[in-house]
Amino acid sequence: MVVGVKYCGGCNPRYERRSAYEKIKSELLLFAQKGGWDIIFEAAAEGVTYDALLVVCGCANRCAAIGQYHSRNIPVYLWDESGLTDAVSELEKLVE
Amino acid sequence: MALMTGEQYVESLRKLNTKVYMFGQKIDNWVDHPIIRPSINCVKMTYDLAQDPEHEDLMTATSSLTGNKINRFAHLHQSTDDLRKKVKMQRLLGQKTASCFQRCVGMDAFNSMFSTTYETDKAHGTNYHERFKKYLTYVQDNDLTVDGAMTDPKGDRGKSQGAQTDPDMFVRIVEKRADGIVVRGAKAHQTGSINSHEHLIMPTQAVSEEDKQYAVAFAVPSDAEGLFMIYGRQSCDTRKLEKDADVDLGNKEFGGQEALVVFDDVFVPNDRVFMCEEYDFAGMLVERFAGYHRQSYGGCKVGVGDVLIGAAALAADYNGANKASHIKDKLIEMTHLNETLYCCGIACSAEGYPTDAGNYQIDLLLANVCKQNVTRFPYEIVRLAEDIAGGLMVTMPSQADFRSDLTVPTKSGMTVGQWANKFFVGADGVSTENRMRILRFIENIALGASAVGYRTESMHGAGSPQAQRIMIARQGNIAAKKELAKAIAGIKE
Repeated sequence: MVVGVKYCGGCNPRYERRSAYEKIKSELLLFAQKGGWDIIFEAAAEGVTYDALLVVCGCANRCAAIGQYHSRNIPVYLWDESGLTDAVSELEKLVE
Repeated sequence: MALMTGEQYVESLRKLNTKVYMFGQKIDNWVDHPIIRPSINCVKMTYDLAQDPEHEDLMTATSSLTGNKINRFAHLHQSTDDLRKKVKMQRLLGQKTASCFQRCVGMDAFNSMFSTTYETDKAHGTNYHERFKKYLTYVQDNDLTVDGAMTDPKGDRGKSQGAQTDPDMFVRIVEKRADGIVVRGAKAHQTGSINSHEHLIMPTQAVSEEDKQYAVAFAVPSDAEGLFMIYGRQSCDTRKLEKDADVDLGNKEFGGQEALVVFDDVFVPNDRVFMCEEYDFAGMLVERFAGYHRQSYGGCKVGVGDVLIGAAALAADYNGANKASHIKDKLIEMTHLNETLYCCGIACSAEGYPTDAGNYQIDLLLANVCKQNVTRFPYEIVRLAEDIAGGLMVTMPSQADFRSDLTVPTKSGMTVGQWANKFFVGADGVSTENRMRILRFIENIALGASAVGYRTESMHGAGSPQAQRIMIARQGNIAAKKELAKAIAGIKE
């Protein structure tokens, strides 16, 4: 599974977006390894169709523009550290 | 051409033959000059962040002219969402530089020129809008930094342009030729002018018919024949010339820049002329540029405020005063003031509307309220930062003293550095150098080189306080408010 990662612009993030993303990534890589699946994370690019789009926003406003990206599944949003577990779960379901 | 990297931007400046004077000397290698370079680093950040996946969502946009991905600083706002993202981008850059990053004047000039040329053409049958679109496409395609230049020296403020003893106090047309115009005059306080590839010139105030030679808007390369700049000095600027002074500088990497830009009979070809004596549209251009720029301050100063609040909180930690309730309350007050400015920037953007030309304009009343608050709140924020920091921020010895190994001939036999470090230690576990660094940072913003950007620019940039009050009076609609009061109070007249 290829996950496109899109950040909001980060004008006033309420948590550390990069480290939250790294936690999601490491948990997903571990999960995929156990299940024998492949999972790749890459910066979202236009013209590519992803299996999943992970949108990492700094606050609940979630102003990141994603209309230009393509995903086979609905985007998974993170906008608060408390949503980290849910984001991991959603992505795990897609991996399976 | 794709977006430039920061390094490509710096290298592109070297290719220009921009004429710069400072301290009475011509500066040939101004790109690497220690006083100028920090301001170049700020503009460079606008290029670097556009390449960064963590920030490109704010830093880039899709051009309405070409469909290409461009730096947002060259973008025509296509929605209220674009207007909000502009403010957010500026806050981000303020956070990353703690300085004025200079590129917003160009963006504000593009948007005001785009809509004004459209309406000028409709009224006068001119062709400025198409010319301007071609020019802006060139700017976008080459990812250029452009100084949107408005403020003339103005001479005697009690006299109009044409009534000045010296007619050059406002930029004017001195000759009209078949292939273009020749202009003379100057623009003062020009933020980032030396760091810009191009200059986009606008009138500084409304123009009457008798003074129509002052109704002129045009673009020139920064190294045009007859154009030169005299660098504006800043408080404590020569600290940047000292060796090993990074602690004393407070902000070693970044800084702002202003200069006097002189036009000594500069030729402008027709395809770069966007207003030529259409005096009835000078006021519109000024008002729109000022409106956008007053919105801008609700982003950039907030970002710098974010860093200053963080610095004050660190100073409290390092002083061991962080648990005091009054310190916590002052940090809350600073945050409240800072976020109030941001609210104004977001509000005037959210209430924006499309112009006849199609790009989006901010709400003028709210933008002027935004800037009016900016003339006050940063002063209070920085006052509170000074309060928290303590007097040491202006009385401490130099970095050279802290690092000195010169023995003081007294009983203890300690060096100057040892004495300084002994007596300026703060909370347990905090290095004296880190304490000095954060205090010097606050000093830099409060009364050093960065005070230009955070304090006086907040007061006078994008128009002095009275200019906003005039606009607030015009837009405030007191008559309608009187009717509201009459209706509630039961007054029938």
